[in-house]
Amino acid sequence: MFDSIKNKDTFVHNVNPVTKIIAAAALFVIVVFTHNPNTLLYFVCIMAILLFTLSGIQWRYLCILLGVILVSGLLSSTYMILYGKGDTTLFKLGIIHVTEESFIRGIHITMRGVILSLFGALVIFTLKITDVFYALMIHFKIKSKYAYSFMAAINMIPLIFSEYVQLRRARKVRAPLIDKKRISGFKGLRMTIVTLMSQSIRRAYRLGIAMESKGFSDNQRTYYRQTTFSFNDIFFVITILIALLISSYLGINYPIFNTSDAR
Amino acid sequence: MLVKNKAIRLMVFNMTDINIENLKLKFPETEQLLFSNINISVKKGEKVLLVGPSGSGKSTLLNVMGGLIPKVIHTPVKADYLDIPNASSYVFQDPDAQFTMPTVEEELAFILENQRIAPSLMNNMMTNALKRIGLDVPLDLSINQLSGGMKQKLSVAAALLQEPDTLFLDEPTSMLDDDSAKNLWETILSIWSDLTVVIVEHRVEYIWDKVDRVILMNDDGEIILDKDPKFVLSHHVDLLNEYGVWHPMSWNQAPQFVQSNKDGAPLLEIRDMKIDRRGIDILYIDHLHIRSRQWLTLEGPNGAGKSSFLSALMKLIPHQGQIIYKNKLVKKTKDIIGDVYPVFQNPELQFITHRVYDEIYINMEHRYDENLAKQKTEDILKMFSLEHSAHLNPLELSTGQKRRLSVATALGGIPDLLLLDEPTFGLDQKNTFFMLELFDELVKAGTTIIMITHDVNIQTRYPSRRLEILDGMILEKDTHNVR
Repeated sequence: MFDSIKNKDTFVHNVNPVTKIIAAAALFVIVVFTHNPNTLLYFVCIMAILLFTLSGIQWRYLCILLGVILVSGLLSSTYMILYGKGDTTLFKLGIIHVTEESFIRGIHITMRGVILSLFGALVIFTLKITDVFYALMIHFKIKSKYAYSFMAAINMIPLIFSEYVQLRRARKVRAPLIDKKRISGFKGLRMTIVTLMSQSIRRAYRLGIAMESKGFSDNQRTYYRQTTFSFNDIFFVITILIALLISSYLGINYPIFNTSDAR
Repeated sequence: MLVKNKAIRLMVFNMTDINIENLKLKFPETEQLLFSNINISVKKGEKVLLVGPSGSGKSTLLNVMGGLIPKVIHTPVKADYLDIPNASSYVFQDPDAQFTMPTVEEELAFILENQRIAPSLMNNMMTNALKRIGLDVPLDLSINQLSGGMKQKLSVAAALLQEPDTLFLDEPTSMLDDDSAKNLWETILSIWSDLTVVIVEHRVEYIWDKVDRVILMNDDGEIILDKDPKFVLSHHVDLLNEYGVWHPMSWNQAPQFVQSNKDGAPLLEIRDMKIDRRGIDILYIDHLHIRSRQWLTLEGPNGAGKSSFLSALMKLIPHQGQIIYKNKLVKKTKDIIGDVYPVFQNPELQFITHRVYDEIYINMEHRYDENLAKQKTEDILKMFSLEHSAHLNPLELSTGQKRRLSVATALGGIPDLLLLDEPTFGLDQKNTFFMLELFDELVKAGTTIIMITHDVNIQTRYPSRRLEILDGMILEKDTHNVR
């Protein structure tokens, strides 16, 4: 999916999607129950390093992504920072009251979000969509009917996008020749949606027939891709565990904030 | 008596692959029967070509023969006998609507998985299938990166993996340019010797003399001709023409126009135009002059940048250099709208109302009072034979009708310059000739036409000037007029 911005494959690409999904769930729990902001700060740094080294994506795209994650993380915590409770006032203006405690609490929340976003990005960048569905079919016994329909649907998204671009161009060309009321506002939106939907529905119908003509059914089938677990999965889990241990060691011994509990 | 009859049937059954007697079929949403009494049989190993006007039910009949109807498409079917092959596979027309998976290997594996083949055998089978059709691509290549022609070849490979006795081809080349179509047919011819093959196809020049039978259907879903191709050509060309079906001699009776040699005033000038696609230069034009009353074709291989050139002319995509239209520098799309009108390749994506009538009317309501606008709209609808479809949603029209309508929208006012991206693509003989006549009339009335076309017959017959994009440059070609 990200082939155009990918530099290389790393061992994470070969990790079973199931491992990644379980790791993500576990990490969520761990991060939520980590109350030491120092540990989280170090973990953010290590996660960023992991993303840059293991995702195989070109760095300039990762930098943009990192920027977006940080900014949206900070924005989401401004409420907590600006109106939080606390004793040590840093800044006060009208109803805005920034205290040291609220500031740290806000940053703490941000970091939780950032860690999960970074890990999520690593997982998504290294995930082949087909592998996910193969894994779901093989390990979680998802019906092949649903798995393949999803895969086929995902293939169609770029087509819908390119049709939208064409539609916009055609509109731009015809718009000056006709009354604005014909294409502005709700009418225009409805027309766009109806056109794109009808194209997609027609294509999906044809594809459905093509799939069945190729012998697809909900019966027993074999699987070309064998998604097994390998040493890569163990490496992956160990890497995350080490990252956690290092950050909690650094967080305890070399604190940056002068508190060890953000609550 | 009955027993004897059965025995004969069994004998016939052994030699025939398909045997359908007295087939009746009705789509649930319509009143009329599509087929009221169809009889058709195809012998083992026979190659059959089905032709007919659009709406005649060729594809539907193909789907009955292959068992898709009623098994997959739930349409009620009645027949006295319905013997259809057990092992059959299909190649469909739309390269973008027949692949489930993102890569070549996963798509081919999908078919093998359906047959419950052991995964260890798959790789070998896939490589062999690709080799058989001469598609030399890495297995892990993304299907998106294949050209239309290669996608259709992949479809053939996929069909072969189903190990069919019978191959059904539903307009496999209708979305391909000439070269790819020819290439695809060569591929199919190279693998079909042991197979029974039933083909629905508009583009028949490459296979007419290769098939055993040509079957013509009419607008009422009846088989009106079923003979060998040579006989059809020597005795029934008039029937083919009547139904507007392409045949190898079609172009002999193509419309011929008297060309006026007088070029008009300078219309368009392009200087130092450079177009790039994701950072890679695809086209550079040093200098190009176009005068009015010219009919130009724009030729060149797929992906050469023909459509990009038209888009750049309309200022729809960024480019370097200058476009000067009637001595004025064009800065924005708005500057030339109305004078220059493009008709894009996908008519569906150019419609902006939900009624055929409105598509034309909205161009008129601005410029004329209501009665006159209505009158003009009806005139244009009549001119394009769309008056009976005026109440429909444009998306409900047939391919030919859609394309006619997309050109009709250009005639709100007669534009000075009409840009056409493959305006005859996928049209039957009748519609193609209609379009060509229309273009000639427009040129004579003072419009300049630049049309992208891959059709050699059009390229060599009609344009007053031919341009070709090759290796990022635009070249003048000789106009060999065979008229």
